[in-house]
Amino acid sequence: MSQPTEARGWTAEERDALAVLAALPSFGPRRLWSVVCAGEPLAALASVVAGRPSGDLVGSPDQHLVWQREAQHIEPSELSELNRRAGVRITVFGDADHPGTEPGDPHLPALLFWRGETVWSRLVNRPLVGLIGTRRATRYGFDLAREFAEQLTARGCGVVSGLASGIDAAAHRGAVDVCESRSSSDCGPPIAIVGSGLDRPYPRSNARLWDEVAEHGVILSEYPLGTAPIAWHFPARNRILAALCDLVVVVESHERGGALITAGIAAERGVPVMAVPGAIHNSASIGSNRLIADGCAPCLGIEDLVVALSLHGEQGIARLPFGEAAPLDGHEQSVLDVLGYSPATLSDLVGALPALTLSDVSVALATLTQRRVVLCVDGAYQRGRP
Amino acid sequence: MLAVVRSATLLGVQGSPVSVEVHSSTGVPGFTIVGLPDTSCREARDRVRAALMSSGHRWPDLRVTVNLAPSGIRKIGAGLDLAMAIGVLVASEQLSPAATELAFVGELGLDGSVRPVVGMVPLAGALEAEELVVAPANAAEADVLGRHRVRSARSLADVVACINGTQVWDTVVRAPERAPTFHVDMADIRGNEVGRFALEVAAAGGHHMLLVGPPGAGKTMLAERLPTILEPLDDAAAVEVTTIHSAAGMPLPASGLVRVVPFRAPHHTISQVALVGGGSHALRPGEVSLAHRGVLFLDEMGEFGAVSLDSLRQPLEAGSVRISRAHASAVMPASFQLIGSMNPCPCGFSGTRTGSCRCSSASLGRYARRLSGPLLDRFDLRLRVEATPSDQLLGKEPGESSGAVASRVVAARERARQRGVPSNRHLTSAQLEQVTRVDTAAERLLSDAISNGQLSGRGLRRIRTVALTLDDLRGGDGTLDLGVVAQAMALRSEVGFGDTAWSAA
Repeated sequence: MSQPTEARGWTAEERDALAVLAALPSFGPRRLWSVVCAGEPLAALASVVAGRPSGDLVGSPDQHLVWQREAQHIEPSELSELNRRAGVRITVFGDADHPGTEPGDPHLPALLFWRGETVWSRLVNRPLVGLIGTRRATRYGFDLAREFAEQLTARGCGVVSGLASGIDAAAHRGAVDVCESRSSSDCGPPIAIVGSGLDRPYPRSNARLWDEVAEHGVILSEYPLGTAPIAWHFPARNRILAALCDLVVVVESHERGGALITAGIAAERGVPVMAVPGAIHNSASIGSNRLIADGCAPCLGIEDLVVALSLHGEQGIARLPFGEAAPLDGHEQSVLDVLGYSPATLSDLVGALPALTLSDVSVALATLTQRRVVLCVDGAYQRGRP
Repeated sequence: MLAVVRSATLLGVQGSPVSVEVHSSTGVPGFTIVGLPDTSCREARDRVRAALMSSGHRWPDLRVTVNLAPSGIRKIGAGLDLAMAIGVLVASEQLSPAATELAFVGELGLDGSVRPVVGMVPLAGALEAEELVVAPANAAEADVLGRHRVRSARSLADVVACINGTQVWDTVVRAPERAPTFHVDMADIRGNEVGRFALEVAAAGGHHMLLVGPPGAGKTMLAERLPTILEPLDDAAAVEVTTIHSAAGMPLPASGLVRVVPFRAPHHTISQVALVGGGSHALRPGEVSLAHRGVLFLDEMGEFGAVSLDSLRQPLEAGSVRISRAHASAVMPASFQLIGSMNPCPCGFSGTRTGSCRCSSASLGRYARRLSGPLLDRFDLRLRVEATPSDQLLGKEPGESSGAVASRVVAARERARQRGVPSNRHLTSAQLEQVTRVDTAAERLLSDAISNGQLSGRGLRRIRTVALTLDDLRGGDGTLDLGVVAQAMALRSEVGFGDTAWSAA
């Protein structure tokens, strides 16, 4: 692949032309890189419109025809207006706003769609930590992902994840909550890399979380507006995640899963990978435990992450406290004492506390859940984060 | 000559009177039935003719027209056979016109035998006559309402003989009422104190209850014991229930009235029509109506069709269900207590102590969508149950017996009756406001829960109602303190399903 003539600013027309090319079906990141490296997007677009793609753009004749037909129908200025209205920016390699440092990087597309006010310059000096894991997580994974995200965000790290359900959602939720409660610019912005167009939240249950991440941080996608969340987009976006991060943490992973793909790419790129150990019986920890067995560094708590990122400056490596703990009364303390981290039903608690009536336990639980010291999930109680 | 005989037909769970007008005149001999008969009713033509002739009567060589008035409503079933036969006999002057003083409901066999029909109780309720003639197998049922002197005869020939005074009617015998007996008892439940208590609260307040737990946690065992702690139906309720059960063709007890609280547990493959009622032929009562004044237990609620479950919402609110079809519509009573049980996820082990759920996120999502938010919101009590530890199953004393629990339930229900409702579930918001007072500490707990988003407006009303029931059970004066309100909240925990669960954190 030819080297770019020089790192230079792109004109508005050139950006629009690149956006049109990115919107063509099966155009692919490799061809996009070659256009960017060649530095002549207008000429490249013109050749596609003419039906005779130049240089590295060659595909099958059928493909040329499809591109030609599509490209003729897209008006570059209209496309940029659509993006602008959706709050989506386009960054191209060479922009100050593009995270890429190496031209032709297979893991970092030449063109990225951004949603959110945060610019790359705000991220570039921060450690970016990928918190990744399965969509079918357990409570253990949810809580850890959330806690790590909170602690890292409060220390100014950018928490990177994929806005899927499960671990991803828990990580983004933790990061967003800290940004909201602290509202200072020391907080690391949440960063999401998604596998669909930026106007297509997926899964739909995360639609609100998308908006919140975009408000405090940024959502990145290599896919143009309107792109459906197709299954193979997700492992593809994982490579971008691996390329962006300074550290990747696998919180929970089943025996097979996207998180392991990300970890593999990260390792290939020399990005350190850590994995959180879990119970060997737990299907959601098999993948992460396997990583540790294969030589990946175990993450036994936020302290390990802090050390790995060399963040232990004035804040030390202890947990940052959130909110003040209100004192507990006698009944509340006894309920909390018998409550472990695995779920317990009301019946279990009443059975374990023969000295208290159902009424006493209920009152204590009502107070504890309102203070979020205790969580009620699916009708079962357990301790909140420590 | 014209003869008018009284009979009745069934629509939904209501009988409506039918005048069977039989006219005979000279002309081309023939037999026509007019007045919106359905197929089984039109077939009466051949049955009546054959029955008449095999009972030793002569078929008139006349033009016979039968009109079923009012002609606007559809006549369903064979219950008008007997009335038509009597009409033909009177119109052809083979029987004295005095026979038209009586009302007749019964199907005829070709040999002239009188056969029972479905829905005798509502049919009898619709008839204005001093004497009612029915098949022997229908006699007890026809007598339930006590509005008629019920006469029964085995055959058309017997009916004619009794009318002529050459034979006497069979006497109707009703068995004496007996207290209901159950094969199960609350004493069978060992451990699971909270589950037992929740069941008691559900019984005392008539509250809808959802039990969520892994397989083997005793959800079904609990729910099946609910009828054993409910008080038997009073007279008015017993008549309503008996009428519905009769209309559905269910066997009635020998004593006539249904006194045992209905407990209906349809299988999850049930169709929507079978659940709420309907059908294109006759509008039959569905399970919701059969559970009227009783309990509708949906075991494995997550396996029911989403459409079937959501069709429960309207009867849950209104206490009745209106079924409309092209040819007719009917309102059927459906005031039932809904008890649901389900697993937390398709494999059954999500969020359990063992934590070994193997469901995919897609199947969890599908499962969660099965129960809509509005339906979940209608449960007053939502309880998570876990399997009782083995030491409690083996070692512990048997639990309190149903009799002891039932006495507390009866006392609580009595307090509800003093408020003018059958149970606390039926209290309106205004009544609730009137009979309860929330003390300061409880008020603060509730307002915190509302501002945290844990409680909706409807949820608040449900919590207050359950708290009132808890207060009734302890014999309080309607003051809802922190204890009962917190208990009501703990017994109505959030049971989100599947992958949405983490967002509660």
